[in-house]
Amino acid sequence: MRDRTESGLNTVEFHILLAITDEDRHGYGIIQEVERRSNGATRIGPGTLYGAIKRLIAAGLVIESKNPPKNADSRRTCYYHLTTKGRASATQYAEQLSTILKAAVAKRLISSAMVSSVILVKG
Amino acid sequence: MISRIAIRTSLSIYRALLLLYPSGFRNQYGALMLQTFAESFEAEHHSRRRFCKALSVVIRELPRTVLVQHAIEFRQRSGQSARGFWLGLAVAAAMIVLILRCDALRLQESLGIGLAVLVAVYFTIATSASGWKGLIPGVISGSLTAVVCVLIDAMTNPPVNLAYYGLVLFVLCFSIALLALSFVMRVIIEGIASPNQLKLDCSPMTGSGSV
Repeated sequence: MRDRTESGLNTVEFHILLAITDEDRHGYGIIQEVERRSNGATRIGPGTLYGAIKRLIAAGLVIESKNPPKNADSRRTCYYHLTTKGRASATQYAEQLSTILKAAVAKRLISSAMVSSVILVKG
Repeated sequence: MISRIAIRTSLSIYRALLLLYPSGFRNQYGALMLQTFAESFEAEHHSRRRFCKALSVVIRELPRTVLVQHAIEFRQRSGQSARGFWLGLAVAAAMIVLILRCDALRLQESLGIGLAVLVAVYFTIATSASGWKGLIPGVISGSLTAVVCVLIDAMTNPPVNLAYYGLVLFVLCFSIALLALSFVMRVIIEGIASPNQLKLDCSPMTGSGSV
């Protein structure tokens, strides 16, 4: 991956981990969540999604959920669950992004007010 | 509003395109990918613009993801088919010795080495890609390419002009394309032989009838 960082994740993988942080989701649910969180700017296709999920499962960051959510669709067999290791990797990646964001504010690429408003609006 | 026929056609095309993925990945995630694709299109079929956007995402990601997954599977197979690889290399080495020692062909040393390298490359690619199964295509395509190159060399005397190199390059590209095609055909045949792996209930989440 060209944009892989110290945390071992790339952007798509981070988006996926972020999507399943609060609840277990199935493939299409992850795509919807990623699109919703990025205001439609990031849309991933099935090939990218399952390629990334395969890597994340192999790395032990995600597992196939054995206990699907209560409102789960009975036709679905595959929900994905974030592991403790996955959460740690996602946190590390988020911290790296935060550092970059601080640098961007320091160099006046973006204003601190904008960062605050983004955090308040989307948080 | 996109018609149901268009969605079904898109699904059929996508199901066929899934055959481009390596068998390991396809067996593991093919059905899920198809389901996700179906749901994604079903959700977007009310808006032509969003439907086209969803389609463009899938089309754009396809070549990249297919190549990436093949590269991953190729790496894994290379490790697993080490015996096939070394056998291929041993046969290639034997052929190198034969080619270099064959006075009847009256080959220049450089051409002989070139041919030997060529055959070795074919063996290595074929056996690394699919183990023992790749040995026969590797032997056939490597030997045929070598023979054609020798024939071209025999027909063009002296062989130092652009047409000669162009012809040799063409033969090389053509035979490599044939080798690649044989792998693609094998993947497709494997897919046709096990179609159940790509069948699933793709009934739409909102509409009626199955896609």
